[in-house]
Amino acid sequence: MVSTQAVGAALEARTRRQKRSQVVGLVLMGVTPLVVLGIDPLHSEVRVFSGVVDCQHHLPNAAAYCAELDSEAASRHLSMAPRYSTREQCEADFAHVAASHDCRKGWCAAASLSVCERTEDNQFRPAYNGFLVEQPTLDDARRGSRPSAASLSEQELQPAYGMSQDVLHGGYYPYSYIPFHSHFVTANAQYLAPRGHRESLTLRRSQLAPGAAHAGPIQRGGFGATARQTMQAAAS
Amino acid sequence: MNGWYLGWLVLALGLHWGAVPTALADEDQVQDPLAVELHQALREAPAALRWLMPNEHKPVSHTEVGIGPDSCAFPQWAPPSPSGQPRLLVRCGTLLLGEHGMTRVSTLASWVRTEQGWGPGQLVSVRYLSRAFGRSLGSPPPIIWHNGWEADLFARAFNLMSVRQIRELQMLLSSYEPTNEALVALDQWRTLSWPDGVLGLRADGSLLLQRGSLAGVGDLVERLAEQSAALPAGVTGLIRPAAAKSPPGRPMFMLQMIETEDLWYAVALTDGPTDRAGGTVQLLRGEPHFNLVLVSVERTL
Repeated sequence: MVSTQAVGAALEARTRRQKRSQVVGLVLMGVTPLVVLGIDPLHSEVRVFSGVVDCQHHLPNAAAYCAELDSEAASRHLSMAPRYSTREQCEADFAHVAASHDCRKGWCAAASLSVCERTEDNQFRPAYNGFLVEQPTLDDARRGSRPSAASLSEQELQPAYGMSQDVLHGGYYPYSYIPFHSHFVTANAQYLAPRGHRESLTLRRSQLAPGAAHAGPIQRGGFGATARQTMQAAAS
Repeated sequence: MNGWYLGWLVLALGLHWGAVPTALADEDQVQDPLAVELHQALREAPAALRWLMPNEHKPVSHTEVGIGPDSCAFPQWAPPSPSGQPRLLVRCGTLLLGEHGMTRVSTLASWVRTEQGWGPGQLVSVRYLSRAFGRSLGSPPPIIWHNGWEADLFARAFNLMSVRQIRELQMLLSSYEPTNEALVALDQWRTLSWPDGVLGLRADGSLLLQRGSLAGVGDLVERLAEQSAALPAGVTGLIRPAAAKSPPGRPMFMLQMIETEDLWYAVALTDGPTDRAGGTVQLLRGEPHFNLVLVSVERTL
């Protein structure tokens, strides 16, 4: 004879299974349309540009929009850029030659160097070197739909910064450091691509979240270490 | 005596490089009396002079060296010898039949004036330029140095300088006088932190870079923008002595840059002791309150 307790336990177990099935079902119901529509909720496709001209190569019929994106990203740079207590710490991570064509026989115009700039509160931040835009925004722009750059979220449009390859490769030996090779990273120390990279990039959305990794002035090596880790993750 | 010198002594055949390039023979520079005297001796009484081959001790005649009356350029001032005697450097061209076949060579000789007259001209370097016929010598062409002279910055530079560069250098050395403010201004530049990757700054805002960190370069760029007008008269920028695999030295005011196919050199103004130990700085003119030095700039980029 089956006891009342055993019946109760069996009912409870079945209820749990049903609830679990419902949760799984609900998740599947939510994800299926995204998969069908080709939407990946965890990742984002972006492009990084070194400036307006670079953007115009990709959007030849939207030169003015490129300028608008660049201007807005430069404006966001003021609040999003990583901050350092000293210029030396900042430039240990970011100083590089951004325009090597301005160098003649070893002499480089000062304007060809990307150095750190002083902020209003006497800290230092890297110079603005370019911007990244989500690919759908660019696709829309190509089709003629161009939302105001200011209306784009910081995940859709944000500044990008050049970082020396030697820093990204794990510090450097003093006499092997070459300042001419640089890569783009986000303000949040997320690795993007080598300067001059022409293809779109796929990043986790969390990588595009503004300002989470480094709140307050950065200490020597912190930003570079994070960027290095994300570069290694991107390569693996 | 090795085969090379045998070839030199026996086979030079007195073949003069009759067509010494105009650049070597065309002289209109500041001519000091000693240089004029030596030049006349080389042209008009070469038999009275003796020469020493690199790393040899026996004086030989000009015919054994293969240098004729018209083979040599006008003698030029050089930093005094270690014993303080006035010294002149003379570049000559000739043909040499040796282990490289018949070859055009450029020789550099150091002449010291003693109380007894002109001592033997020490050939301090023999630089192979090109074969007279046939295959190339490779690049860079070989240079043979008399013992110890390879470390002499002035001789190294002089070996490869153009006539125009020599003329500008001699004029600078004989005429430059810094203002009193110049050395004060130099101190201000020295207080800045110079990253290892920066060897020089020019008044036009450009930087000479080498391998090494650029951390702190922004301060230099900022200061240059502020003070470009304040660089003293005659100063074209700042330069640091540099040798591979050692940190660059302290900045000095650059007066003239000399680019040769071998190294770059700068004539610089400084007030401190010259760093002879590192082999990157050589005193050219010492005055009570300043020094003019020759600085080697060994670039790594």
